[in-house]
Amino acid sequence: MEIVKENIVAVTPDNFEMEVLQCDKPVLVTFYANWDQPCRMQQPALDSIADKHPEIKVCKLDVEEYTAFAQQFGIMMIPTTIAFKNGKKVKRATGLRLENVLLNMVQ
Amino acid sequence: MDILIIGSGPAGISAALYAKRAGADVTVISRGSGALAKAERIENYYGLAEPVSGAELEANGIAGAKRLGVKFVEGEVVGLAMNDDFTGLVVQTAKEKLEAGAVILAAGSTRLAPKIPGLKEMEGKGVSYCAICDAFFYRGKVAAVLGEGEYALHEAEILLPHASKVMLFTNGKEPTIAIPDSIEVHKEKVSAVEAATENGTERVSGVMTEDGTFTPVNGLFVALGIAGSVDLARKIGAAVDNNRIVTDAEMATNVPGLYAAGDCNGGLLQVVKAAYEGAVAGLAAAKYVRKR
Repeated sequence: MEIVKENIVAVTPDNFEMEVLQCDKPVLVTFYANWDQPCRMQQPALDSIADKHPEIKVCKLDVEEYTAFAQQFGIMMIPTTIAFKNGKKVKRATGLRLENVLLNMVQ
Repeated sequence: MDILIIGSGPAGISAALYAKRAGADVTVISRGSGALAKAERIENYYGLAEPVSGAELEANGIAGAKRLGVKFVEGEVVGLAMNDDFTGLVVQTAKEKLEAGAVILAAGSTRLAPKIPGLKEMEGKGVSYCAICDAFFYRGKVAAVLGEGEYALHEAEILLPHASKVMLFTNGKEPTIAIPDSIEVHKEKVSAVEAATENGTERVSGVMTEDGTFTPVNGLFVALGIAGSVDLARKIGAAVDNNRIVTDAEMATNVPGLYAAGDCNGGLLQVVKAAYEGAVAGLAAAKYVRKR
């Protein structure tokens, strides 16, 4: 996951409110770590959603860099993906998930 | 080595036959008999004039592969990862690390996890299936492993440098291997995984055993029995859906060089289907290592 594509937003505690909670589109946030193999393998599905679905915002948050912030969401397994709509958590998926499963979380 | 096949049932052996005949250097690793050996009579497989026992079919399969020059090693696989430069796969056994260009998962389907209240519900909230992935979250915390053998010990050993304390819950079983003193062993049957809500977030708070004892833990890693194909797939990031490994028509997973065949892919739990998928996976893996 080292390469962040232009259409995937790297979120931090500082921009989380603006990028995720105040976003008027449905948002998928994947909590990840660079060294984790399942997180690496999750990336192609996130890239594909970001490319094919401009109506969805795809974000990722580095749990190693922002551990305390990730703990606020109860993240204990990576990757974990949380779907937000209108500033609220709507769905949560733990572990590597297929593209259609991630899409279903916001549709 | 070119190709390492995990499992010596009909899927693994068919994969070995086809990969070997396609010119690859093939090794099969297994821990002994699987589901096939338990079948008393097989009479729905092509070419059998009389019924044959599963054990006999399995033994003949292994003998045939040996005759073609397939190598066999005995061992229990406890981990699967990419190598450091992402050019191959590393299979970790209880004793050694084996590196291969391609790996075929053919170790059958895993038994379902026991119906312990809280186990399914708390997945990702303290219940985990991969110590190497999630040990990071247990720095300075208490981590427990549910299991009784080499696999459980392997997961516990990954947690030791991170967690403040590591426990092993054997769920009513005697450990099948020696457990070092650094790991606290609880042998009672587990009756529930307890949760608590803290700042609006639900998390694992402890393990309740049938003797009525509540042991506070921050997380529980499931590693019962031996690591099955699905357990290994999860560790390396191969997609799993409904406890089945997701493969394409060539039995390739989403991880480059990793294939899966047989019961672990779901569908018909039959020799004929396992043999077919093994053949496809063996050919595809041989092609993959040739192109590398």
